[in-house]
Amino acid sequence: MSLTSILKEKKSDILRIWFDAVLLSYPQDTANFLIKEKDRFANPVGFTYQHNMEIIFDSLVGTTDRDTVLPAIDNIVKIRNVQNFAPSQAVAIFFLLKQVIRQYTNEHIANGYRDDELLALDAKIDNLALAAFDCYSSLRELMGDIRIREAQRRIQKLMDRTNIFNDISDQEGDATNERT
Amino acid sequence: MGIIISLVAVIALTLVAWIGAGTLGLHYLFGVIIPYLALAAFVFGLIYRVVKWAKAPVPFKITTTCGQQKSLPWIRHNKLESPFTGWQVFGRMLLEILFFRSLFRNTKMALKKGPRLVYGSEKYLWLAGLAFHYSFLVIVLRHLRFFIEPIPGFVMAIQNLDGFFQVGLPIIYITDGVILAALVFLFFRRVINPKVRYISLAADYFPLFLIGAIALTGILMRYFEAFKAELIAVKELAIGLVGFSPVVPEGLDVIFFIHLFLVSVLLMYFPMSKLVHMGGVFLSPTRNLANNNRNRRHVNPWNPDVKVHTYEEYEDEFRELMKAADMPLEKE
Amino acid sequence: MADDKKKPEELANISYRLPEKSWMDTPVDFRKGTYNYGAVAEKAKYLGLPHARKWQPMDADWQLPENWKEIILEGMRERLDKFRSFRIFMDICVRCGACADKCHYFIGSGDPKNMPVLRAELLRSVYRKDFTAAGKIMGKIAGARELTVDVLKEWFYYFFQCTECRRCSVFCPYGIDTAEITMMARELLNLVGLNIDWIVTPAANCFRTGNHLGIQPHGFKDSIEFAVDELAELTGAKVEAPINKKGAEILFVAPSADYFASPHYYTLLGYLLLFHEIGLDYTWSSFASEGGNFGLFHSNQVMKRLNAKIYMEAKRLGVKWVLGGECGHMWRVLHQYMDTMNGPADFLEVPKSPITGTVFEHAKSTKMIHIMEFTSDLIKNNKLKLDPSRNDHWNVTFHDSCNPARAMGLLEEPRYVIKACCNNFHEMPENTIREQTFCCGSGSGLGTDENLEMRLRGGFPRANAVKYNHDVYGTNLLLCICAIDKATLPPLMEYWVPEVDVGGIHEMVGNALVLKGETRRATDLRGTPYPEPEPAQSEGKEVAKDV
Repeated sequence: MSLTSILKEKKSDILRIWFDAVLLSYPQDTANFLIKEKDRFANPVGFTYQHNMEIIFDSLVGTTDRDTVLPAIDNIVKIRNVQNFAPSQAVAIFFLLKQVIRQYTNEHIANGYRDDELLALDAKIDNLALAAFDCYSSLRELMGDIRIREAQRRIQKLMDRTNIFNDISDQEGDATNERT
Repeated sequence: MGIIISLVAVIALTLVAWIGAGTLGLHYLFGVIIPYLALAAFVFGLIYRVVKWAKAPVPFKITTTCGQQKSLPWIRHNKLESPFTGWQVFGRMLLEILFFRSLFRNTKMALKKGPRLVYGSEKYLWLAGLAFHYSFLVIVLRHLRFFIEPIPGFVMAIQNLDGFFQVGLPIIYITDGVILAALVFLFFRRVINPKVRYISLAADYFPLFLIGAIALTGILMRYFEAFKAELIAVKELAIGLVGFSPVVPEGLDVIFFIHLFLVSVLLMYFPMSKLVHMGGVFLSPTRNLANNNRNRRHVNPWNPDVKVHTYEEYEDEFRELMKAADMPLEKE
Repeated sequence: MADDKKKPEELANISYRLPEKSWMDTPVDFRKGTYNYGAVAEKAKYLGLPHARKWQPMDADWQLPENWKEIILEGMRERLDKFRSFRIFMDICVRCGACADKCHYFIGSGDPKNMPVLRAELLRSVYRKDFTAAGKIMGKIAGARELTVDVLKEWFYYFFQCTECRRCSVFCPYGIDTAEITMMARELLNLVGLNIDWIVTPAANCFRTGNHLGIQPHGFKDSIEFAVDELAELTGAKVEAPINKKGAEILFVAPSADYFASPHYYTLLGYLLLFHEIGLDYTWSSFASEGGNFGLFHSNQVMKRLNAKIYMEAKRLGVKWVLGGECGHMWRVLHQYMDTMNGPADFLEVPKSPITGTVFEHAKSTKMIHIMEFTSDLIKNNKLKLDPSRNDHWNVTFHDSCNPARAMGLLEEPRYVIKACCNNFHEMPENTIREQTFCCGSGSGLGTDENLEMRLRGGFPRANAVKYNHDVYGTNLLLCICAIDKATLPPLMEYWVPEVDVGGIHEMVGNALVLKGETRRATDLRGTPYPEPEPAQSEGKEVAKDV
């Protein structure tokens, strides 16, 4: 059996293990809730994870295009970016996928798949992780921009009136919508 | 941890009564002295708590509004969720106390097809809470038949209603089943729901086990031949206690003393534990005050004198600037 | 492939598996981005607050006064005797957990100490230890614990992580209000000089100059005049905006952000246009130029000191009654505290609309009404000519601000005004609006940039509901009637739903309002040009929709 068909067939199992592994990246107090909760997706955080992890997983077996998978990565990294994670921890969950798949196939699939398939999969996952890294840094930049714009907005009219920083405030309207 | 401590505590209490009243035969202690002490602790403890609450003033009217305020005549005012008059507050409190209104509002997040996340209604806690409290009330009222002779009509009525289905011999009371079911639900909810488990203390499990043990001993005495209590003797004891001429009649089994001892413990424990929420709910300032703050002034008995910044001080500081800006001044 | 035998989380080298611990034994980690800076000593001194000093939460040593523990416990005793709410809320919680998942911070972070019940237990555990027999005897079994420096740090972290939004109190079967508990905890922390700069500095500025930014009287005047000039450019209207005018009928008080900040400013333009159009005899005040009151987030004493200005100024100017602008916590203070603290306002008259003759009986004691009450009454009585098509470029939804919703019950008035001024209005999902509205995540003085991560976490449930509306209805404007919302929802939207802008309801009124003899408007109040040919040529339609 090819690795791709294994992944397709065992998608829900692997996704579940991946999700559990992601939850373990939370401090224990928090992870306990998310894991033990019967309907663990029934909160905005769990929901965002579940929904987008599936899209990302689909991209590994070639059924998702890049334009769909990038927003999915972005949605997840967005959450991890504002929670208590170091940058490495914020994006580490994509690398976890390598181990999750290896472990699962080792334990459950009797006849092996070809090594080159595995290498190709690794490369795909590496790409996901790199994209996540991009997301993370652009979100950090966004947070910086948000801080600046917020500080500006607070005294926006004062600045307009006294005509200081006029050049910056002129761009303010556009800058708000620059990121999509 | 809390579970084990509480369970051990209830078992230990049971053993105390077993050994004390059974093995050692201290019937007068367990049948008269302890119940009297417990009752005294309950009454005085509760009064102490309520007086302490009532003595603390209510400096501000901090109603939590859960509906439209009374403002313009053509906007429909939500009288029960945002009461304006005393009677409307009474209505809100009635809903709160008799029907657990706020708990009824409980929501739970759930995933719907789409997929999308919705905040749906979650009524189990409300239902179990209501079932538990009403069963408890009915059971307490039913017990009045032991204490009053002749048995008052309303007690008979409640008893008949409770045995409405006329099943079993002796007739099975609905509330006996309901209270056990509710206790089991409340216990498992505490254990299984990770959030509730995390916040639970020994003081949360202990009353569940204690009341469970009381209910179980009661049920054993009523429905199981081996444990059947001698009703005449029980009534003699009860009437004696009420009339302050206590006698301990012959023929009372150890199981009865266990039951009575656990009830005594509950009475003593009540005022110093979270169980006083019964009294507290009446006094909760976010619920028992009207949302008519702008209509009727609320007086704070300790309204402090504070240092304010007066207009004169303000003008003194900024007079020149205000003058330059052509702003009206009190003093030129 | 030896590595494969390891568990996934080990491979990722994340060592999160801490030993099982109870919440009482988990100390706080002050991570940058999740707490607020300490109060600046000079500002605290200006207000005469105790133990003002230079300190920061990330310092190991908080330089607490020698007898800090005594001070806190004594403060607790005093408050238990002064506030029935405090005593009752300490005693009657049964930990049923109904509040647990109602807090936006808990939903956004998963941090268990953000469950309202646990937030209260942080204080309750100390209460049990020192004020109840059971706690003294049985200690930890009864849920009691010693007050230590670590506990104090935990208080600081978590009680400046509650926005006093009162959502939990709606669901509590006993009405336990975490906002009240947080207020008590903050008062206690103040006693040993622990507060945050974003609360103390605005409070000190407001005390001195009348507004949070510390703008002096002439600056205030310039700001209002600047808006008047801009309105002339935008609409051709020659608006008058009197300041400190004695003998005016009405004193108008708005949050200061309305004249300094964006998008608040467009709401200010809306007020000015409205008052101009109906010919209202009113005045601004430079002395009482701040409706907001950060004293609410500090202590009842500071709240009273700041709030006193409104009645003092109404008296000095000799107005008949007071009108208040769009603000959230300001209205908690005005509705639930002002009359009690600084009343009775027997020198004022019962508010009566000079335009419609409506007497606002419900405010007959405080003599102050909300501008939503005032404007909805105007619309209901057909006193305004409105052209809602001028807001057709907006697809709006309404965020109930916590305080007007849960401390006032102002739910229908804003909706009535929105429906009269906007053609495209869609509510957010059920159970996220009205009395169950989700907080912006930045209320009660927590809206600082150093706290941005925490705010984005806490605002996630609100943003999630907005996102739903955006996806389903194409919502592009989030309306609100709170200055803190207008300051903090834009960053929240920029992060989570960048397609959605934020505005105030009177901005919509200003756009829709057809002035007498008005020529067609080229742009809306933000200066965004209307498309040509302009929508529904400005006959305007008289709107008297029922709610």
